[in-house]
Amino acid sequence: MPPWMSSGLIYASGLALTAGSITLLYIATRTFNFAVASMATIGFYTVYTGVALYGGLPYQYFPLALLVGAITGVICYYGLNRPLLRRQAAEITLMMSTLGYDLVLLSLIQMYADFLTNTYKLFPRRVTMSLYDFELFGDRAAAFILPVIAIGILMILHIFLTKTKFGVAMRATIENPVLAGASGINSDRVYLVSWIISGGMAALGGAFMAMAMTGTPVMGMYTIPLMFAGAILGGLGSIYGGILGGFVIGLTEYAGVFLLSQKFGAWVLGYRMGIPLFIMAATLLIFPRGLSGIPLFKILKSLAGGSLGGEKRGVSA
Amino acid sequence: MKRKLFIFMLVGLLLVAMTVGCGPKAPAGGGGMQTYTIVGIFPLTGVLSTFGENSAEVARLAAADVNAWLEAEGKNWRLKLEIDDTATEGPVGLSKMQSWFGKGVKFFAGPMASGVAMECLAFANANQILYISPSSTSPALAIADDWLFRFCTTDEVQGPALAAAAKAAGVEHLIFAWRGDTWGDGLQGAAAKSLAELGIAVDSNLLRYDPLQEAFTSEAALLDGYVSAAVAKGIPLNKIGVNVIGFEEVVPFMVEAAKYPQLRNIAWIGSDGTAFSEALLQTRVAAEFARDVKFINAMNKPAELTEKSNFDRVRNHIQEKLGRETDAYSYNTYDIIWALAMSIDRVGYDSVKVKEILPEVTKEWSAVYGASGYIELNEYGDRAFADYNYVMLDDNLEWFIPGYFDGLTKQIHWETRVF
Repeated sequence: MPPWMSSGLIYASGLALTAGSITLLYIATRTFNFAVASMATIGFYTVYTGVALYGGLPYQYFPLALLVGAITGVICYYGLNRPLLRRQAAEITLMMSTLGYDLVLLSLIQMYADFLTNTYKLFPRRVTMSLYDFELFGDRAAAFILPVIAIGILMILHIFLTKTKFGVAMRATIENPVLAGASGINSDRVYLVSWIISGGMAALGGAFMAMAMTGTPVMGMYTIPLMFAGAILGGLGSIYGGILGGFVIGLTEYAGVFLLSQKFGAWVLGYRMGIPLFIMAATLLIFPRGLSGIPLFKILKSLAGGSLGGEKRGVSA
Repeated sequence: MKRKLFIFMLVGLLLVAMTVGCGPKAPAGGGGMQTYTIVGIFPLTGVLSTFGENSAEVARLAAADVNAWLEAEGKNWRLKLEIDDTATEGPVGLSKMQSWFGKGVKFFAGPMASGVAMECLAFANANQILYISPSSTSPALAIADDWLFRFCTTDEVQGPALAAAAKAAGVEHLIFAWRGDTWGDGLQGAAAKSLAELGIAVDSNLLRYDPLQEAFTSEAALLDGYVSAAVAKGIPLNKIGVNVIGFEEVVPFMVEAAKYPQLRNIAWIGSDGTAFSEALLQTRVAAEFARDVKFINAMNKPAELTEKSNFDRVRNHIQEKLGRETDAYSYNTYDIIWALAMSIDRVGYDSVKVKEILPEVTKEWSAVYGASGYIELNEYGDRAFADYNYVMLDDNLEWFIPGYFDGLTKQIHWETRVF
């Protein structure tokens, strides 16, 4: 696998989780969570602390990152989001509150980096996590493992939302909170669980992304436009769309900048972020509801020259 | 109602009065003792964070030493040092300077990067804010009568040092890869000029990358492609070199470059941005790659030191505090705090008056106590002259100095032959 592709797959898997995290929270609580930036960074630092102080592989600390991310989500919910939701705060207020939370988390991350530097004489401000990885099929293991984990999380999420009682209740609350409340569903618990899942996904996404890029205290801040681009590309109405959007944005960033710079020269490198954002804008112009609004079945049918539809008709007959 | 309004107004007035009184000259204690503030704006995060951490720690040491001296001399003022983070970004650095200026601060140590120093220049000039950078080397900032002073030489001196290193490494064809900011552009230009004078061809493909870049897969692939193209033109690999001008982002660049076998067989030239880089040492793959390709960097050579020089004090302090070898620019930071403090001691917290006497005070103080040696400033307020040490990694992955470039004669003096 060429280096740009393996790095792209790793990065895209992380971005997919963060974009999915943004989408889930937006659907559930109408909150655009800007704190996803620092939550992602916290995920990276959790894994880094594990490997730097206790050894082993980054993968074994992913559950811990998930847990720490979930805790930051719970704190944000009880500290900010819940009181504001109860006061029927406007979307802009909810969004700005997460921005404030993000700044608090960012300061804590900086303090933690100083702590690691001064106490353990580590070098936590620029970390190349890929060095802790192992080789699989002659390539970086993360290029195979992380996309599989990302897809696994998507499947678990799907099963949770469609096959469990709480998942169905969650979907009902997301669809219509008033009606769900009237049916006896505890919307407070649904929001809390949304924050737990979302925080965990964001932190895990950050831990993934640091396996492809340099881990720094501000890595989340630099990548947050792309996390939101992924969520927007996904259509903001579907968690699956958000995850797919994040994956597309991440992969096109790496693939786009590599292929275009090979073709047109190094000047393209300066437009690294512009390439996926352009793709997002172009997709939204054609499909205003994002990836989740693409009539995939219809397209597949037309590509198959109607045979798919014929078979379907045959079955139904 | 009127009574309540009156009380509110009174409280408001009191708050305003208290806020106004919180300037840098606020008394720190009884007996008319004054406190004067200097702010160190360093890159505590971003691609110069190692350098920033070193300088911040050294500035704290210098401030403590200044205060000990003030106390011993029975002076009626104390120095208050504040440290703030520029994140190695121009707009952030400027906003920090503006914020502190709003609180009455007129003296700054830093910023370190030329890009940040450039961003602050217009604001500093307009408001008579005196700021001294320990490490900004861009020739673009060599401006007479501005409010930026620099205790390091510009890249007009470093450029020839890098070109000489390339020549010594046997390079006949050089590819540039550099961060696209004020510093990177300035040094690349200076090095390209010197290479031409030495008869070394510069590849027409220029790899100028985004300074905010954190992943280098495409850059490494492009570099490999440029080398292949040069080889296809008949240039042997051992005559090809790359001059990578960057800060700590060079580490992930090297991690990616290590995946391309032919990039191990070309010469790698660095700059002061990567000399003594702790980030490089901390990343084993990059460090081993740098050792194998004989990655050679240039770094300001401290001037001859006197017996009373604070060089060892700074070095030992960082080793004790951060457990590492400090960088050459942090010695300049120590001298900056002292030069500002000595000047303020003479003429008070007045930036216009301090600006007038700063070159003379710096000369006098550094001639005896300078951690970075004797400092003479030129007409642009920059350090007038310096030699450059070459810095490489030895077999144990530790930085060592194999020789130096004489800025006056433009000759290399090797202590250990490496090419």
